[in-house]
Amino acid sequence: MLDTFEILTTSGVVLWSRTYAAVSPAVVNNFISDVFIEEKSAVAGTKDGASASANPPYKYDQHTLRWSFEKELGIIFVAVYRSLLHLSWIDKLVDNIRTIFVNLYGDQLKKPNVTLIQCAKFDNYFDQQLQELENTGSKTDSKDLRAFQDETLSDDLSDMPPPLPGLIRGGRVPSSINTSKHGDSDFDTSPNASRPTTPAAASHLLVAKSGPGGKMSRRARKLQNTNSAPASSGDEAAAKRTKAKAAKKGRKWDADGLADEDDDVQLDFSASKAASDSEGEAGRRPAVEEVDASTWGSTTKGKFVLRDLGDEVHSILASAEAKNSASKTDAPTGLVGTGLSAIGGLFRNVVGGKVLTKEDLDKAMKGMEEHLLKKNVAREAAVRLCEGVEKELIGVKTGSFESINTRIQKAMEVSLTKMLTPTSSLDLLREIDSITSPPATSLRKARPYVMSIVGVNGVGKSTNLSKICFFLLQNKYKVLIAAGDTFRSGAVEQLAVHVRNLKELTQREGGKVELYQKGYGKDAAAVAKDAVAFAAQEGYDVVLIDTAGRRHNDQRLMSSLEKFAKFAQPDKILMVGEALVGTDSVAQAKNFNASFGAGRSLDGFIISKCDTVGDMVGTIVSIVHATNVPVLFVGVGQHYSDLRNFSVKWAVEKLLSSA
Amino acid sequence: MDTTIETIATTATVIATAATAAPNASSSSEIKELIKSLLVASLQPNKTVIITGLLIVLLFPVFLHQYLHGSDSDSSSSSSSSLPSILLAGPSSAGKTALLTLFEKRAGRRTTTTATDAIAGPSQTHTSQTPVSVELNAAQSSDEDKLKKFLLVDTPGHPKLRSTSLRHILPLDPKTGKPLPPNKAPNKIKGVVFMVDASTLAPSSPDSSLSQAATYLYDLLLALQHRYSRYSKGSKHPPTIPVLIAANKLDLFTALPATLVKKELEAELGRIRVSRSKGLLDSGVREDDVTGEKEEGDDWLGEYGSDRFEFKQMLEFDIEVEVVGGSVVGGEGPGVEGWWKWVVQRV
Repeated sequence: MLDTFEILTTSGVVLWSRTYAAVSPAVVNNFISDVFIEEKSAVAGTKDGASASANPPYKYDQHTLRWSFEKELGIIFVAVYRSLLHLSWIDKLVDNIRTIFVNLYGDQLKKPNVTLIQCAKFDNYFDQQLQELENTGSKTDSKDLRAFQDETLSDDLSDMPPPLPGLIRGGRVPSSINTSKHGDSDFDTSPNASRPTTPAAASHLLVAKSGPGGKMSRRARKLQNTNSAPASSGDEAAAKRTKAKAAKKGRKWDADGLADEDDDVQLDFSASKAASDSEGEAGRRPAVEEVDASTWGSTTKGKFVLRDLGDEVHSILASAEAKNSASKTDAPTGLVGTGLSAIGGLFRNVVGGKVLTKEDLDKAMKGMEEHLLKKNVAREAAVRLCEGVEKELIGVKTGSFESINTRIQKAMEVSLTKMLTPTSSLDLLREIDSITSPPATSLRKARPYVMSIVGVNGVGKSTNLSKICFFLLQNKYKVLIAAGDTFRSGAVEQLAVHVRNLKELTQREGGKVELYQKGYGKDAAAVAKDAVAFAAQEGYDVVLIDTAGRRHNDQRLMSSLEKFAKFAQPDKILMVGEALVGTDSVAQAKNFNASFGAGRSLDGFIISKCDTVGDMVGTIVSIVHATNVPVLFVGVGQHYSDLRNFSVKWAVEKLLSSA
Repeated sequence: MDTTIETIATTATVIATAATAAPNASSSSEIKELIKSLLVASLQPNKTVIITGLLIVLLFPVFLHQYLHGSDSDSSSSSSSSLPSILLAGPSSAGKTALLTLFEKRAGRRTTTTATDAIAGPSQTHTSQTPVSVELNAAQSSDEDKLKKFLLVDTPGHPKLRSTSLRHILPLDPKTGKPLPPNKAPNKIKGVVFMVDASTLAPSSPDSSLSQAATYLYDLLLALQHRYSRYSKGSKHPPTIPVLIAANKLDLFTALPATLVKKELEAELGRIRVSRSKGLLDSGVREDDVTGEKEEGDDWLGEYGSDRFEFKQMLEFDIEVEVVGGSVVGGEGPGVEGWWKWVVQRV
């Protein structure tokens, strides 16, 4: 069943909610930050799509969320249910509720500086919708089920002549004879009673169809049934009445759910009840009957109230649908009309105050896409960015004296800033401090901070490692460099040279650096593990692990990274990416990000060789877009000191500059 | 005057050419005569023609503006943007939006006095994506003549969206993208309420929010400090923006009292200050910029070179920082009254 349904604004206020089972607020919070803020889902571009079915369901911690977003008013409609359940009508529910809610409260929501709206009455609308959709959903279900049952019945029993007529007749005939409405529901209860596995949803059907007949007293129905039952089962049933009663206690069921006794006991209990007047029978029955009756009573009561609402809701839905189809067929009328609007559009383009449409944006967006591609942004990322901006801008009114292009520029700046801004603080020094000297009150033990660097061949892993090392040494840390590249000849010696240089450079600043190496041919993961243990023993603050360069599409080389992550347990895994590389950066980042096994991913990027590309820093956008992992540092030169913190503002300025 | 007549003359000639060029003007000479006389009349240098011409010239832009921007100017955006505003900031799930809705509900109860909204608690809230503002009245009693209306601006606390709240403090010119001086800013900020979740602030708690909250607070205070130091001319300073640190969720068992919240934040801000000063340069900043233009200690929060950070140091920049505890959901201990009082005083 549905766990909770919420209607909330983009500013975070829950306008209306209905909870059936308590769901941790973290579920919806994570949904919002993942889908809307961080845009983790690959199809985030569809986020303002019209229908809930167009939006991919969001899954979190055994819950599935179906949602729909009304962009104009900034409202999100979310339905949360258990992932185990398969509720086919949820999409429809979300869509319908959205239409109704917007229709009823749209005016209230458009007021500025107000977050609260009066929507206490919405409960009734929701109940009506929920019930209606649940019914349609379960109706199809039970129909399928019934058809299946009939089939098996006839299949299985065709070669069992004696019990067949009574069984089938008992189940079916009363319904055909019963003139009152609830005959239908009686018919439906029969599979319900005979099959314990029938989904509970079927019982709702009973509620739906009962109508006014549902209120009939038990006695009255009994009476009706006494009239009908003898007619159906004839004198045979009357003769076997007592026997049927006895058989009831010991009925056995075979694998198909059919009685394997050969008496022709009617499986339709409401009908057979007519025959059972005895005390023993009556003692067993009422429990079932009374529950049934009570649910009928309460829901029928509700239903009378809802009847008017139902009509209103249907008219709302119908008019919304009509509007939809009308807007689709609505073509510009007349030559004069189009001419005038064209002139007006041109005019407004200069003066501002124009409501942007898809056609207006298309051309300008193409220009923006070209611009991004020129800045070395991978096509995939550029297209998605532009799509996001376009979706955001449709229906937006430009400000005074603002052209479409400046508006797009502004929106692109916002969305780039949002994308590149990291979710968590990236203060490396503070992180190292908290690991190497934890606060006295916490239970953690001091240990060295482990960082490792991965990347494709020749992007500058060792160079950037020594740059970071230089930075740490300036801050008076004791650093151990582990030579994890046990494969390429000369790699260890190269690091040794770096270490020698760094020692000389930072001698008077008070830092200390050593190289930990085991020569070539050893397992890199084991070397890294030993290095960490050695550092803990000797009281180093930071361990920097260099790794061998590897091609990101070579499965054999990449698979060893998982073992490496498990053995060395690095606090930070940084990947070095070249600013020079083009479209391939997306694949590189994705593959490396996925190579550390479940539950571990990259913690950050270092973009090297930024000084060689000028304004074309699009690689940064491509990789962040592909992985949602932030950029920590950028390398801007050949010296040890040429490492910079990544500044979002700087990157956005470079990307949008049109030189 | 001459120019107006000239303008009218040119328009008239345009109309005339249009009229003669129009093929469907039926060839009857009467119409031609009529047009001719009209044109002649409109070119006469008498008073009425000049006045109508002037009126057309002057009123046309006004009507044009009405036509183009009419629909959005009637919404109260123009009137409410001039209201003083209080900024509500803080990390995610500290209780900003909840406080906003609580204040709004209380305001609604006070004015309408209907018993329909008996539940006074805040609305249920989730992570915000967009800032929202609510118009509130800071009047102490209903019979107070001067209605002290103000805007309470809620900002999202998600790290990716924090720039919106900093934008409020250091606004940018929408046209040029350059920073705007505070006296030209579109809205007057009278104070900042920085909310923190006191129940998870202890550094020893497993998922401590201390470093997140402190990082945000550091950026915020630094922005305020920049605002002060950049836009001060001699003895003239921009209007002061005080900061209230609202330690929320004091009803919970694990919550730290306000004094401890202050101590923890001060200590953490001090740590951030040190590590920032030692950190790498930002990309885009050139070596020569650092030694040349930028003043020593421009990015140092508080008193430059001081050992420990204290909120008192911010007074040097005319920024008053106060820590008050409370709880949005009520329960035992202080509610939101302390915060409301602070807000009312500042508006």
